[in-house]
Amino acid sequence: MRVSEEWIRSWINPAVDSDALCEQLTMAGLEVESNDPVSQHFSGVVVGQVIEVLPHPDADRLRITQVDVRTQTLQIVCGAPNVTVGMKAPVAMAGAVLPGGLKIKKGKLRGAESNGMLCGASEIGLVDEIDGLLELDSEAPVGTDIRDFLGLDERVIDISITPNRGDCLSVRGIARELAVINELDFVDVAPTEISFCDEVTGQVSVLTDECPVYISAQVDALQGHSNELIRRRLARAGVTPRTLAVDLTNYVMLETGQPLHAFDADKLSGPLQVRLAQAGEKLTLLNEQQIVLTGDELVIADDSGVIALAGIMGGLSTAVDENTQRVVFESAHFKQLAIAGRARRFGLHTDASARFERGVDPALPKLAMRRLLGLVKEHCGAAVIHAPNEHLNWQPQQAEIKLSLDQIERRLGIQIAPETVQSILTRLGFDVQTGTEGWQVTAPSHRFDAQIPEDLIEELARIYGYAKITAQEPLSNVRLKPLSDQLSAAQLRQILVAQGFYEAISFSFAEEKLDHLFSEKSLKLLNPISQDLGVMRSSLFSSLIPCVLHNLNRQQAQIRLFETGLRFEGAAPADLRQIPTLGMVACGPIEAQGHEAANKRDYDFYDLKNDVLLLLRAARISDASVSFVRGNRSHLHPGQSADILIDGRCIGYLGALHPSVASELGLQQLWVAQIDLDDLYQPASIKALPVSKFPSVRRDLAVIVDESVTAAELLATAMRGDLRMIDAWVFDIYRSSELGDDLKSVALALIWQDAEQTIEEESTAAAFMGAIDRLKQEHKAILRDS
Amino acid sequence: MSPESQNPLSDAFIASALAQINEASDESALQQLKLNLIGKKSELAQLSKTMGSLGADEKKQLGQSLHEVRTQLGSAIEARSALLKQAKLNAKLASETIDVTLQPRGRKLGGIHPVTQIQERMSEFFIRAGFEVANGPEVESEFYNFEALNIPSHHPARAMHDTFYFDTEYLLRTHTSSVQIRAMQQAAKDPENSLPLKIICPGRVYRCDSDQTHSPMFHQLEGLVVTESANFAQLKSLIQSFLSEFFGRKLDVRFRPSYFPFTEPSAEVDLFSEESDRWLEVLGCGMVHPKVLENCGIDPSVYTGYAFGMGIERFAMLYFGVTDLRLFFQNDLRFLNQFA
Repeated sequence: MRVSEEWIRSWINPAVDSDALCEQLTMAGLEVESNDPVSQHFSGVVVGQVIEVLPHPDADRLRITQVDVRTQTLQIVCGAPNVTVGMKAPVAMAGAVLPGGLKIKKGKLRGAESNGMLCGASEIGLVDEIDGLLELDSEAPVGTDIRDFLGLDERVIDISITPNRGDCLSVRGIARELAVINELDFVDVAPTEISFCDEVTGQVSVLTDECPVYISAQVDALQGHSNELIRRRLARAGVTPRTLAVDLTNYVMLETGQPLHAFDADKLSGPLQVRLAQAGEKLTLLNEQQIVLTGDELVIADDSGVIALAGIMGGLSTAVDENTQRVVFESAHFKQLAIAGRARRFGLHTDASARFERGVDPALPKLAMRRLLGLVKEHCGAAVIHAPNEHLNWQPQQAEIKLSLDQIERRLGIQIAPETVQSILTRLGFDVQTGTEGWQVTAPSHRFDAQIPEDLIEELARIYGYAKITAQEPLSNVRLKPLSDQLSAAQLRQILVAQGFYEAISFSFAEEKLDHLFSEKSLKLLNPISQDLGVMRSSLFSSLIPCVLHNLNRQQAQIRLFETGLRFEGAAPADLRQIPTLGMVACGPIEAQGHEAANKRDYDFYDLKNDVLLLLRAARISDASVSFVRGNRSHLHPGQSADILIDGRCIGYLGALHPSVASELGLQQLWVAQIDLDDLYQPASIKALPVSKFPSVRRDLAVIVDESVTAAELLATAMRGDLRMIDAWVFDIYRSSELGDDLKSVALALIWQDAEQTIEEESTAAAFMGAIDRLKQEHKAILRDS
Repeated sequence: MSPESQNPLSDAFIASALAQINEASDESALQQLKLNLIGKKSELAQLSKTMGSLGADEKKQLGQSLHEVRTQLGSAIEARSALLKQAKLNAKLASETIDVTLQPRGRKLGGIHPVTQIQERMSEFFIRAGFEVANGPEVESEFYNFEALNIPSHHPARAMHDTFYFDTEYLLRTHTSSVQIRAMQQAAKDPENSLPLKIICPGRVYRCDSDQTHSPMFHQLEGLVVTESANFAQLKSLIQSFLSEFFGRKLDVRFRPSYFPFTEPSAEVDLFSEESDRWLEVLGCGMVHPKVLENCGIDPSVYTGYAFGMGIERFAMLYFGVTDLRLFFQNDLRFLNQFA
């Protein structure tokens, strides 16, 4: 809420300066977001009166004016279209410094001497309402400093009011808080005596319980404008002054917190009704927006139909305008739950809805109406004020809250003296009765938020001062847990980082089209931030690939990124799977800045496979239980991708992005891997084996086999049934036209070792022959001469 | 100079021999010279064969002279040999010299994302203080994200949350408080073994808002303590130590009354920044609202709790001096590699 400090101080004026006042509010929970003068600093600008306007001989758009600034008459060249003889406007004299640092000097404009500048609103830090000079009141005293005249040194305080303190969305509410903080008496504005006209007008029927209080009052022969003080206070609060009726409703709302409305009585058809809308009813609002009501909105209606969205915004058909002379003012209480959410439904957020949604004191409508009519009387003595119609179906029924010193100490950790407790609550307007085990406290009607002891303890702490609550070493309360035996997320990151990967954090939402490359159905957001972030990612690649492109487009050739996060499988939230996932993407040279020809190659499948295996190893998943099996995922290269299996169960996959997918995305090549993290983060213990004391034996062989035979198959066959063969690997692959197109020569290294003895030559030879025989039988392998 | 014309014991002979030794250019020339000078067929050897015909005194004198010369030449040869070996080794080493300033081979270290680094730094403090890390789903129901936290459907606080929805029931969590609800519900089932509860919930949260200071996705770390004795004074102490441990120095910290539907009393915590000469809001906290405990099945007349929550990016920005929030999610390698 924005309000001028002067307005607050007219209610309560503690002996502290502006900054201290703001500090007090902030530390009591009314956070001051800014406290600035109305206009930025400038100097040397006074009220001037134009006494002569002549055309400039050498410039069509310029005028040569004579301006009276009391001490002298200045010749000023002016380009504003609205400059006329007799008008008063701000004059920046030679030596003036305007906002932004512009210095005004004497000079010549197209040959004519100019000794200053006539100013528009924006030139003195205000908002331009017209193109031209800021026209000042005809009564403005010539020669007065404009900052004094316009009150530009006044400070405007912007206070962020929390949702529970609707009562502080008013000058009166803020003043009440300041009174409590400064231990001053809070004094309400004295009501103006009003003599009501006897004629009974405007019966209102209230047809719903959602409106316990509805007060309306008709005023005839309303004329004139709101006074300078009211217009200035409204403007400082960010409300544009309009007609008298509207200004006064806004003013009293800002002052008391009670939203008010004014209908043009001549535009009403028959008596007013307060009721719930019927589904399908239409209304054109003051802002000319047309809405169709759904049926749970509170409305004001007359014989013509709905004329206002109660507590939110009035309708256009009954709006007051500059010709309005007969007005029906409304001051009502609409229940919080009958207003909440309705404004947002129609994309509205009004001062009235903001207040009703937080709750308004049901005792306020009467007070506010009285204040409003008093101001009407002050402004327009000729106005005929009809006695208000009052529908009052509300009784104060605040809960009685039991509070004890023990409760306070238990929650805050400090003891507050009983006198202090009593004093703070009483000053806050609570009724405090001392009982045998503490107090019985009843909240005032404006503190409808206070319902349980904790609400009171919060009030006490706030006014007592959080700073005075001495910090207390917490009890350790440690519940010891067994130490973990599994790979941690931090370790996983460290391994990938050591392999040259950077951790990325990308959005969990992605573009639907991109996500569809990885999944047929994606979960859609109802209100995405933009269409390219419209679905929850079903793969980490949906959000990582845009990061790859971002980097490639910025001359980064070596890309190694990984991310851990959820991927979302399923199109309906109820049966959605939210799976912790690792995603890796890589492309580009293995060395970004290598100097050796041998290492000038790009990252490839076997690099990625190694990076993946490092993780499986770190997760203590035994090599024997891991297998890589050619997969058939449509987004991957069919010949350069594989599923990762642990004991036959798929935990992820790796491979090259399918070339057509890659080219569609504008990528040359991208290596990707995705692994379910829950499968890596598994408890795994180690069982150590003794190390054999006896030497191992190695035999190499090369076999010619069909291209389709995999290394894994050959090695498995070579080792099958031979318990002493402890290791085997491929150490060379050879292809040539002599071998034939579909054949390859694979060289294997076979290692035997026995735990108990040195293996004899003959027994190695026999085992070697056995392996060769198995390879021949199962893979039609031909032994190459060595 | 012919050997016949020289007495091998003469100074001239010795001088000439030493000169030849020092001129020997490699090991094989030196070995040949050795044979010639002190070998079995050398003049010295010849001379020593004449000793048998000499008298005892002369024999002794000649023997001594021969020994001296042989030793002198022998060590000259040794010395020369060592010198030649050293020179050869030096030449080899010189030929093997590489440019040690060239860049190394192999992979360079990558880096952990700055937000994760800060998350880990925060978590480490709390884990040391006996907190456990809890996780939960990001697509959440209204109940866990709002209802259970004392934010009913028309509560004005919902407007502050700019929520992403999937339908009328499911949404993207707007805070990790939903994880706290799940943890409390779980604890309520077995209070004996699960209370006191001390957890932190780091993770991604989502708000439908995007500009230089708002990201539709960001990270929070929230914490919760539920014990029979938790109070506001303890919460203050915990938060104060956390902030000074995190930033590594004593800080000007203030607790300012505020409002959250799920805590009461509530506070926002500000740090005073010398740099910008103003208070910076860094976290929110408060005593758990009794209704929230009740909603989770925990008896508020027996247990009290406190909770706190902070934006991880906010701390990362303060800690690393990052000024644009959006940089965290572009994953530009030129940004990321500053945190390696």
